[in-house]
Amino acid sequence: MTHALVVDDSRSMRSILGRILRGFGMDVEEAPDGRAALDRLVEGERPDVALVDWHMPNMTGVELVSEVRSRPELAGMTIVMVTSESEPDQIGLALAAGADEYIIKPFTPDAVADKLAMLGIGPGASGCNQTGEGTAP
Amino acid sequence: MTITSFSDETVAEITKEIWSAIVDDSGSLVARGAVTDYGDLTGSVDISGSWNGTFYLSFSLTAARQAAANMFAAEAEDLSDDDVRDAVGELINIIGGNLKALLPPPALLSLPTVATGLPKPTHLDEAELVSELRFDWIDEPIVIAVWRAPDDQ
Amino acid sequence: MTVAVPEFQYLRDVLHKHSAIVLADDKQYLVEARLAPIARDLGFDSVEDVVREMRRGDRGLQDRVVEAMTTNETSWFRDVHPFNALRDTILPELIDRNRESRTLSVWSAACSTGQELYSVALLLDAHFSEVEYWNLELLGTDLNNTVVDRARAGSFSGLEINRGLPAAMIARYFVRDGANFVIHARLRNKVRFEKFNLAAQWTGLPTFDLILLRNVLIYFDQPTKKQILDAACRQLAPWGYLAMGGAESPIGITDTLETVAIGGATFYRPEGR
Repeated sequence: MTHALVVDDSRSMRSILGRILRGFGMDVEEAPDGRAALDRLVEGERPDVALVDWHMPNMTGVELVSEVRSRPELAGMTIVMVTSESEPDQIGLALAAGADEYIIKPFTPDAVADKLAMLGIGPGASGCNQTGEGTAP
Repeated sequence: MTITSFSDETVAEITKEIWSAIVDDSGSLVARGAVTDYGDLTGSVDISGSWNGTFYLSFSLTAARQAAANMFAAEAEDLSDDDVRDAVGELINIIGGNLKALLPPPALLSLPTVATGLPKPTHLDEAELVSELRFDWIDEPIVIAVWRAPDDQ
Repeated sequence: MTVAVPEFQYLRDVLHKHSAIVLADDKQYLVEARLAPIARDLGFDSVEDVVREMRRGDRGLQDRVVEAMTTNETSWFRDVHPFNALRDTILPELIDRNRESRTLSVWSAACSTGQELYSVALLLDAHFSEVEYWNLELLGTDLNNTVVDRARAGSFSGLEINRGLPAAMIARYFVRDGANFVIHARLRNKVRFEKFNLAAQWTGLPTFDLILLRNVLIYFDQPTKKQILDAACRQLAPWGYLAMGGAESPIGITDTLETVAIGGATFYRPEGR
């Protein structure tokens, strides 16, 4: 069973993403902001993937990504940004901070499946080498 | 001064795409012409940077409650007022992020605010209405409005 | 109009197995909308009849139904594995082979709005800088003029961009244009899109190193499938590769192709090369 952590200050968005991920057979936890997510990540079993919004109180998504990447104990954590920030430069910024992938809001369930498949997670993945690797600039 | 990047067509296209993916994909969000009334519950996000202003998304209470119900996959009557405000805030957040992409950088998106009231700034006399569109959804009005702050703000 | 429960549930199971799509109970209207054209086309009275026929084991019909239910936006790098195979095995082989001629020709037959061909162009730009100044023929064709125009424009909605495109490529190769994302002119200038009818007689086509004939034969009857696939084989270089959709195969249509499994993908090439 794949475990996902959904980090978004909007309960309705956590609800939407949670349904999609559970529909893929995943187990879903939630956090309302970056700080709560970080607290959750440093203790207990590490989720297989974190889906992270950008704009949140207390700690933004990009700040969370930077924090996670600066901690050796959290090395290898798969992080996907899920945000309405949609300019290519913003995407570049998030990737530079260390996000593995990026989903622009609004998204469809297919889009989530596609992105997770690229990372070897979820119903579309099969453990083979994914296109996402090696295509960074 | 007109910001040509906020054409009615583009704002409508963005709003409908978001509505279809997040709230209701049956194509029932329909753009209507003149804005004749406003909604009861309004979400807003501020934009600051090379362009300063506010985006508003205003609903009737019925439309807001049903949109929230769709997003929570729950019955409208089972939702709290807080749930409804949360959904309105998320919708204007998504719309705001996508409308912001029409602006020259840098453009910073604020966290959303949700309040009862009209989709217009109450405290800035010289704010300029850039774009205002009304949609009908389930026979209820939904309004999107773009207001630009005066240049000295 | 609601689709009967057993058929709806069967369809939901098939979709989930083949596409990761989860069909919620309130998506009846979507099933009706997407499958009614198939029902009309095949002379069925109802969408239920289409699903019942599918249940009887008609694999071709199942492919077509899955395609209809899953196509609302065409995906970039669709199915992932074929593009990994291109990147890791096939393109290196073709490029090595063509080093003298400095040419590479790729055909995306039934290119729709262009994502498949642009995916190949992106792969070449990102991983094979040595072909930057080669004579590249990257051709995409479709029967439908509207999609050909859209493909030429290289302009995609956020929803389309979300479908299978690595974020690093969005950041590097796209700019915002109003509500859309436009692929960089440099990439647009490398590809060519034309209107073309696969089912008609073919003239004026070059030989290709790589032909992508994915998820299009399912729309044709058996004789036309053979006509198209035979014609494609004639346009394929002796050292070339052909790709079909994940659930398709030339078996039963033509026997001039041999199967090559590469990673999680299946390609075909002229037999006995």
